[in-house]
Order: sequence, then structure tokens, then C-alpha cells
Amino acid sequence: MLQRIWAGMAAMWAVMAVFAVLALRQAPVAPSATSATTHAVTSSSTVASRPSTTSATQVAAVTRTS
Amino acid sequence: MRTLRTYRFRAMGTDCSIVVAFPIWEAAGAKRAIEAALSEIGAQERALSRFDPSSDLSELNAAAGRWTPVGDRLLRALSAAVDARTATGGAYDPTVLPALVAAGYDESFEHLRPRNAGSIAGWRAGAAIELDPDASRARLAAGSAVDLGGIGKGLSATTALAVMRSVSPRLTGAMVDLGGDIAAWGAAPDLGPWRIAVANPRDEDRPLGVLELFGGGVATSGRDRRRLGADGSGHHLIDPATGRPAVPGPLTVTVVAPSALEAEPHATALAITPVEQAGAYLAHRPNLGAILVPENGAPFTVGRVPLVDHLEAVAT
Repeated sequence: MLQRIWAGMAAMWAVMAVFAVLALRQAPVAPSATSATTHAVTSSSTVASRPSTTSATQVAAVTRTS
Repeated sequence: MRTLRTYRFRAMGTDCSIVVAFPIWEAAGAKRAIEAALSEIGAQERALSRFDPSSDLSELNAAAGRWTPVGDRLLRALSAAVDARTATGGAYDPTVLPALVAAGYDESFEHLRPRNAGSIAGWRAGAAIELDPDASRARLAAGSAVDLGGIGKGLSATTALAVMRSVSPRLTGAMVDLGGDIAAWGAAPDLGPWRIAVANPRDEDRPLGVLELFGGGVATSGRDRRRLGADGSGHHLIDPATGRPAVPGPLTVTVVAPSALEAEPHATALAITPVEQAGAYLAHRPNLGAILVPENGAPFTVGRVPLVDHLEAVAT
């Protein structure tokens, strides 16, 4: 019985390790060779944070006169 | 489990970003989608830029009056621009380029040298743009020229988003922001809507509010930026009715539409429309909503605008 519990826990840890490796694989993206006119300045995996009237609100983008 | 990746870059003379939401085991698909979007945006810029003398658009402008071979991207952009001119009742007109150059916008804004603005004698809006998709060619009226700067961003954002979805069907959401022209699809990583702040032209640190979208497009136009003339008193919003920088119109207007391609020309149109006529303009276009900031007075919304966390001053 104890062996089965240990085997189950080991399997669970193995699955978690796979997820951790997959998450770590998120390396910065390089511009493709054909996007010569685009110029990367930074790469990030966080959302931008902008202040709002009521609280610090997480937003993904800001629209403004372009 | 979902996560997101944000990729920031410069293109089309402005700050841009691409955001993708995806299950954590789809990191490779997310990377593939971003690379495909960058490639598409680069290709759009090479085809549609009026500042690149070798672009399809520059070659077409230089050959005004003659049938000229054009690529698929320019053909589609010209078709969209002609449709938008009709949809806005002529308030958006891609053939304002000669008037825009006369007003002082003759170089990429990053390299623009301030000079006194002028106007162009005898210029008329509504110049013909003839398209022959079967032969991949187009013809502009002799003496005319086209600018696709605004609608090109809306089209590129919309197209890049479609490319991303096509390349990586397992994404759960994505957003393309080309200098404030934004195309969104699906959900953010928390399965909620994409949250897009609307910049406040009077206070950069306090947005007017936050739009919450599961899809669609957003574009902002205004005279708070891209000032022209030696003293900075001019602006780049040409009124097709006069051929000069528009006098009436809000300080800024943000339009929410089913796509960025639709939002962009309507934002341009509303930016040269008297503020008090915005309600009538949008009453005929129920799939649009707008946030207007008058030159004097409090900001307000018209139509369907999913605005939350907004300033008390914004009348909704």
C-alpha cells in the first residue's frame, strides 16, 4: 500500500516537473528574418500596469492618438 | 493553466505590442504566432508606407493616372480605404495626401522638420481610385496621391491578429496594438476581457477609463499629438471639405468597433466632425461606440462603450 502511495506521489511530481519545464521554455521571441522594418526594443511576460481613477489597474494596452 | 506573453517593438513609426494568451503547454505556438504577426506587420509596412520610396504605395502614387501593378496587400488596403470613404460619408478620404503634405506633414513624423503650413490650390477631395483585382493593378486619378497611414495601422492590426489565429489555433486570446490602433480577440489569461486603457490627453498619468473587450477593435484619433507648423499650431487631421487642417472636432476621440479596420477611419471622421454632431453620426452606425474629449468641456461617451474604472468627469 505504502509503495502505491509513493508511486502516486512520484508520478504527481513528474507531471509538475513537466509543467515547470514547459513554462521555462518561454524564451524571448526573436523577430523573424522577414520583419526587417520592425525593431524590437524589449520583450516581457508581464502586463503593463497603469494607474486608474480607483486603483492600480492592470491593462494590456493603452489607446491614444497615434 | 494559462499565461501570456507581451512583445514590444517599433513599427510604422510608433510603439507597438503584441500580447498572446495561451495554455502554458502552448508556448511554442505562442512564439510562432508572434513571429508570424511580426512578419505580417513588416510586410504591410513595406507595402503601405508613403515614406518608403520603394513601397508599393509610393510607386502607385508616383504613377498616378496610369494603371500600375500592385501587390495583394496594397490592393486590399486600397479597397478598404475606398469602402471606408463611403462608410464615413467622405469624412475619411485617403486622397488627402497632397493637402497633408502642403500642411507640413511631408516626412515621417520622427524626422519631420517644423515649417510653416500651407495649402494646395485647386485640390478636391474624392479623387478616383480604380481597382482591378483580377489583373492585380490599380489606377489613381492623375495628379492625386493616397495616404494609408491611419487605415494601414488598423488593417495591419486586424490582419496580424487573423494570421496569429491561423498559425496557432490553440491560442485562447490575442491582441495587437499598433500605436493605439488595437485589434483584440478572445480572452485574457484569467478568462476575463482584454483591458485597454484610454489615454487622457489632458493628463497622461490618469487614463479616462478602461475598455473591456473580448474582441473587436479600438482606434484613437486627435489633435493632441502630431502637431504641425513652425509654431506647432497646426495638426495632421485634414478636412476633405476644405483641404486644410480641420477646425471643428474634439481634442481626441476613441472609437470601439467590431474590428480595428473599422474603428480607424471612423475615428478619423469623428476627429474632424463637430462634437455636437457625434451623436447623430453614431446613431446611424449602431455597431460603433465612441469616447470624445472636447477641446473645452468634459469627456463623454456615445453609443455602446464598455468603459469601466473611468474618471468621474466622463459622462456615460
